[in-house]
Order: sequence, then C-alpha cells, then structure tokens
Amino acid sequence: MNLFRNENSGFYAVEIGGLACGGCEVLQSEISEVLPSFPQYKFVRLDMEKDMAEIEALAVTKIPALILFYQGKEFARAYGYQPAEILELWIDAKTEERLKQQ
Amino acid sequence: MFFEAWEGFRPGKWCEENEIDTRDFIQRNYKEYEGDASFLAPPTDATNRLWKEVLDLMAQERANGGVLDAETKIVSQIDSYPTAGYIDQDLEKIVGLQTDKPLKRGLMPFGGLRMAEQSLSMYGYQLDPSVKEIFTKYRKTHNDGVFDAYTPEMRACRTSHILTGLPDTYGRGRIVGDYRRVALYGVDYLIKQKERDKLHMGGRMNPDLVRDREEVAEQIKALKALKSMAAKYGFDISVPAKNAQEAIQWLYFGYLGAIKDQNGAAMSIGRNSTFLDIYIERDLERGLITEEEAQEMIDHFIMKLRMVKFMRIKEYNELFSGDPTWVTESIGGVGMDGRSLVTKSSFRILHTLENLGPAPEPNLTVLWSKRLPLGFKRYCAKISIDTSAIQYESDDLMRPLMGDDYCIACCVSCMRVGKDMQFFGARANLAKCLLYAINGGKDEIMKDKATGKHMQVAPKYEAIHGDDALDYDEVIDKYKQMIKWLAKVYVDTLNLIHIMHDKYSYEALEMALHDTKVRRFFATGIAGLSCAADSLSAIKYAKVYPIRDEEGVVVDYRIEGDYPKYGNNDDRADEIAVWLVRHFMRQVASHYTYRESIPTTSILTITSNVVYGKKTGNTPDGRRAGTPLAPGANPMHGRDNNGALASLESVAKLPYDFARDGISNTFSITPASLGKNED
Repeated sequence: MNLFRNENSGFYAVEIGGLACGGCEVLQSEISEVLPSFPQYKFVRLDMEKDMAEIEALAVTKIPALILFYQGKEFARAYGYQPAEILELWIDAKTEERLKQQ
Repeated sequence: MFFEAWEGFRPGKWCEENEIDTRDFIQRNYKEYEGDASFLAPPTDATNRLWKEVLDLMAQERANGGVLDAETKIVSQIDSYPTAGYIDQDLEKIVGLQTDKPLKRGLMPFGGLRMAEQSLSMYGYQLDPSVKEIFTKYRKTHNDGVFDAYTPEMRACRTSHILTGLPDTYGRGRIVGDYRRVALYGVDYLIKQKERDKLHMGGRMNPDLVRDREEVAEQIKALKALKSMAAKYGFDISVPAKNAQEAIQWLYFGYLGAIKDQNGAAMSIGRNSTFLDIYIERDLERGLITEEEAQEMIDHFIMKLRMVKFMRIKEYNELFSGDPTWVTESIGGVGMDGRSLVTKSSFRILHTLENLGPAPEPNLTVLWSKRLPLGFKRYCAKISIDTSAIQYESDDLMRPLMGDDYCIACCVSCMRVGKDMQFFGARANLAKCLLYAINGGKDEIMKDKATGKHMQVAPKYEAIHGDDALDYDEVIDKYKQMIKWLAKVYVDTLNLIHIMHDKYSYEALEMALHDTKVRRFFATGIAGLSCAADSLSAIKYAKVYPIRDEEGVVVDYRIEGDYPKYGNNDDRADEIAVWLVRHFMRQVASHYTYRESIPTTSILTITSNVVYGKKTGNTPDGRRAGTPLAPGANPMHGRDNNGALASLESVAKLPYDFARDGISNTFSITPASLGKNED
C-alpha cells in the first residue's frame, strides 16, 4: 500500500502524470517550484504507464492531476495544468481548511 | 455639474462640466477589498428558477442542431424590435434580449447579405423576400463594398488563402464601448457631449473631416436609439443610474445595443466589476439591498451575457471550432497608485461560476499581478481549479503600456476602455508565402480555371530553378522579396476592408461610447510561423531537394539529413522564427495604415490553423499538404522532442515588442496519455 494511504501519515501531494502528456511535464516543474514552500508535505508521483492500478483506484479521470492527502484520506483534488502561483495559493488554502477541521 | 443620482460619490474631474472620465470616477470612489470569499451569497430561488429555464432553452437549442430560432424579417438594429423580449419577466432582475425571444438569433445583413442568407438556410430558415430586395436593390452592404473595390490580386490572395479569415464577410469586432458611461452619465449627457464635439470639428472640409462629422452624427442617432430601446423595457436611461440595479441595467443596455447592432468576431464587454461595485457598496451602506440581492443582480447580468448568440454560417464555426462570441470581462489588476482594483464585485463576478456553474462565456479574465490581495488570489485559485473557466493575463506586463483602465478585447488584445479601438485583421500565412518564394508567386495547389495551370497569385518573381538542393541564401533572398509583397497586399487589403466597414457597417453605438478622438490599432496576424521556421531550418541545415510537377512547379520536397526544429530551445531554429516575426512586422509597419492606426501583429491562431493548413501544400520541413499548421506560436506537432519546457523556452524567445497583439501557445494532452482503453 502506498504510504499516502496510511492513516498515520501526514500530508502528501500525489501527482498523476504520463510521459506522453506535455501538460504533465510542465505541471511537474511547477510543483517542484511550489513544494519547498510546504515542508510538511511529502511528494509522490504516479505514472500512467507504471502505476495504472493505483491510478484507477483513485478514480482519476484526467491528467495531469494533483491530489492532496492527510492521514491517508484525500481532501483536495485538482485537474489540469495550473501555474505555480495558482497551485501555491490552492495548496495553502486547502491545507489551512483541512487543519481547521481537526 | 451634479446629478441627484451621484449623491454620496466623491466628486472630481469626472463630474466637471463637459467631462467624461469613467476612470477618474472609479479611482475616487472604489473600495479595495482585501478580505476573503466568505461574504459571498448562494444563488437565490429566482436565480435558480430563471437559470433552469435558460438551461432548458439551451438544451432545446442543441437538440435543434445548434439554433433554437432565427429572425428572417426584422433586421437587427439597436431599436428595431417593436416590443421588449423576456425570458421570464417576473424573475428577471436584469432584462433585455437581442431579439424578441430568448436565444432567437438576430438577422444582421449589413456585414453581407449572402452570409446572412446562407446562415439562415443552413439551419432551415428562409430570408424574407422583402429584406432580400432591400439589401439587393436599395442598400449596399460591407461585403458588397469590399468586393466592388478589391483588386484581382487581393481576390487571388483571398482565394488561395495566403490571406485567410479576413473580416470582409463578417463583423470585425474587437471594439469595446465604455458601457459604464451609460450608467454614470445617462444617455442625454453623452449625446450633449457628442453634439459639442461635432460642433468643434472644423477645418478644411476634406473627405476625412466629412467622414468624421458623419460618424459622430451616426453616434448621436445610435445613442437616441439606445434610449428608445431601453424605454420599451420601461427604463429611462436618459439620466444617470440611481442605484446598483439601474447601474447594471444601464450598462447592460449599452452592451445589448452593441450586440443588436453588430455581430463582430469578438464582442467583449470591458472592465466593469469595480465600477459596478461602487454602486453596490453605496446601496449596501444605505441598507437598500442585501448581499443576496447584490449577487442576484450580478448572476442575472452574467446569465444574459451567457445567452449572447449570433447567426453564423457553419464554416465560420469551423474556422473558430465552435460558436464563440468572446464576451470578455476583465477583472482585477492594479492601479497606477498601487492599490489593487479588486473589490467585492470582482469576487461576485467570479462567484457566478459557482452559482450558475462553469461556462466559457463570458470569458472571465483576471488581470493578474503578484500585488493582488491574497484573499482574491486564493479565490481565483479555487475557482480556476474547480471550474477551469478563468483566463489569466499579466497586468504587470500590460499596465505600463496601457495604464489601469484597459480591458481585453477577444482573448488577448489589450486596449484602454473608451479610448482605444482596433481594426481586426486576421492572418497572413507565412508558410505559404515561403512556397510562393520558391515557385515565383505561383500557388502550389490552386489552378487557374481558364488554363488549368497553377495560378499566378503573387507577382511573377524569378522562381528557384533546378533540382539541386535548395540554397538557403537564395531562398532567403526570394522569401524577403515575397514577404515584402505579401505585407503590402495584406495591409492594402485590410485598409480597404476597414474603409468599407466604416462606410457600410459602422459601429456607431460602440464608438459613441468612446472618446470622439480615439487611438486606433491596426492588427495584423501571422499563421504558419513554426512551419516556415522549420522549413527554413531544413533548407539551411539539411539538404532539401525540390520535387516538381509537369509544369515545373515545386509541389513536394525530399529531405536528406536532420535539421534543428523550432520548439526545442535550439537557437539555430528559434532564431529563424524570431527573425521572421521581426522582419514581417517591420514590413507591415512600413506601409500606410488607415486612419493613422498603429500597426501591431499577433501570432495567435488557436483553432483556425487547421483551416489554414488545409490550403497549404507540402512544405520543405516535411509537413504534408493539407495537414494542420501549428496553432499560434506552437512548434509543429510532435517536433518539440526536448519536452514541454524546452518548447516553452523557444516560444518565449519570440519578441513581444514586435507582436504586441499577442502570442499564443496551446497545450494539449494526447488521448494516449489518458490510458489505452475505456477500462
């Protein structure tokens, strides 16, 4: 089982992409730019070619996708390419919302 | 000068005698909002019911093949319908339809009768014979005017598609009236100012002055017609709007008049949310409305913008891959004084994407700056990710050039509201131009009907002879010669088109909501940039042998060896693309442009590249005849082998200073990357 599904785990950002997808490659670079601002997050990348079963289990309908997990549970999901600035704002807001729920 | 409707507003230059200055009004009166989205209200019951009715109508429209109903007799003008039209009058907070029924398409023959007739017949309607008679015997159209004046060379360029998408059969669009003026000043004051301007238009009575005076007279008539149209809905817009509902309604009437009168390729609405917020905030402070009511008015306003439709031929929809209207509303941005222009109504406008669901129109465009308030940026991020329905443009890039009261026309063309307009100019196909350079101006596809031989479209310049590999320097010399010719015929054609548009299909109302003295942009465009760049790169770095047909015209190419391709962050190919943009723009700028307009260019095809490709023969880069050119400034499909980042690096090298009207780069995801099958 992937660690991001573990209920004792912290924050995970799971990116789903594929080699044949230009948007995925660019999103990956945007995520790399953004993640240093979120040291509480661990990052996992799932590849359409290699991790199909896991991706199906997540019911991903489009790529690229970015899913946020906390304590093994998904709490936010974004599809499509997003610029770093938008991603950063979104992760920040969703993380804050999730922490408020505790 | 003071109107009762202005009670509570801070005075300034905007309300001095004979002044019209919407920006000054906004700057003195808007309240920047730095909070979050928690104040927003959900849709009211009336909104939900009304929107359901609209959605049902839209479903019927789709089931009907794309058109629900069409006018065949009443020519659409600002005030041509004898009665008002409603969706459901009891529920509508903002009223006004383009025709007498919701989603019924208007009849607009001033651009061209044939287009109006064809579009009707494509959807099973027949033009009323009386309209046909009037527009055949008694009234000339823009299209008639253009074709009367076209030279054989211009016609040939149009037929061969080296010039494509010219606005000679449809409205040029890209003109955005300052619709806020209707609300702020009322129509009578605007008429008075136009009359005053006309009075002061003196000097030698040359053709230009006669035209200018006639145009202002037309503007005054249009404003009077606008007043009459609004009166049919029960509103007196001769005076300034007294409250928020009137401000939205007055502003929308201004826009409605424009879309009743014109079916331009892009009918954008401007930059209105901060302006409207001033009225909403005043009403909220006075306890006249609640937040729910404020949101309801905005929701109903946006609903109306989602219903904007034009009757167009199927080929037009094919060119633009859909039925776009480009009702662009520009939101946010930062002022010259450092305050952001974000207000609660910037949120309210975006919130319509939640209350009514996502939609491509109106094209909600956020003028993005790092200095926008965090709460707004966060809300943009949320709505972007939830709906994928926001467009972003860099305010930091445009503000230094345009100030803080500009808007976006269509998708990227920026202009100051009420102060700038654009002569839209479609595209010149630079890939095809290269083929003309090789073939001495003969079209590689099109045959002369009389002789059955390749048509001579450009002047008969010396072609490239022999079957040896093409020599780069020789090709460049001939290409420069051909670009020089193409730029001239392109600019001349556009000058002619815009003269005729002004003459036979003048946008009187939109221009009435501009200053009388406006700045004009002369927008040209480039198609086939990457194909032309790759072709030149192939000739320079590989060996490209021409293959000739029986007439000796080069119709195909054999490539030996590899060559650097644009889109891989390889300067060898990218520099060719940069040179092409600079060279073409310099050639365009060397010619006379109508009404002292400022020449600009764009590399901006988003979908029409497919149509341009259909009309372009085999090219020296190995692209096959009829296959699509790349969209905008994109690399050719499948050639950006170094990854998406390298591809972006190549595009980023193109000089914005030479393509101020916009450079587009389209990202796409291949179906294969979504998985191999349904399961």
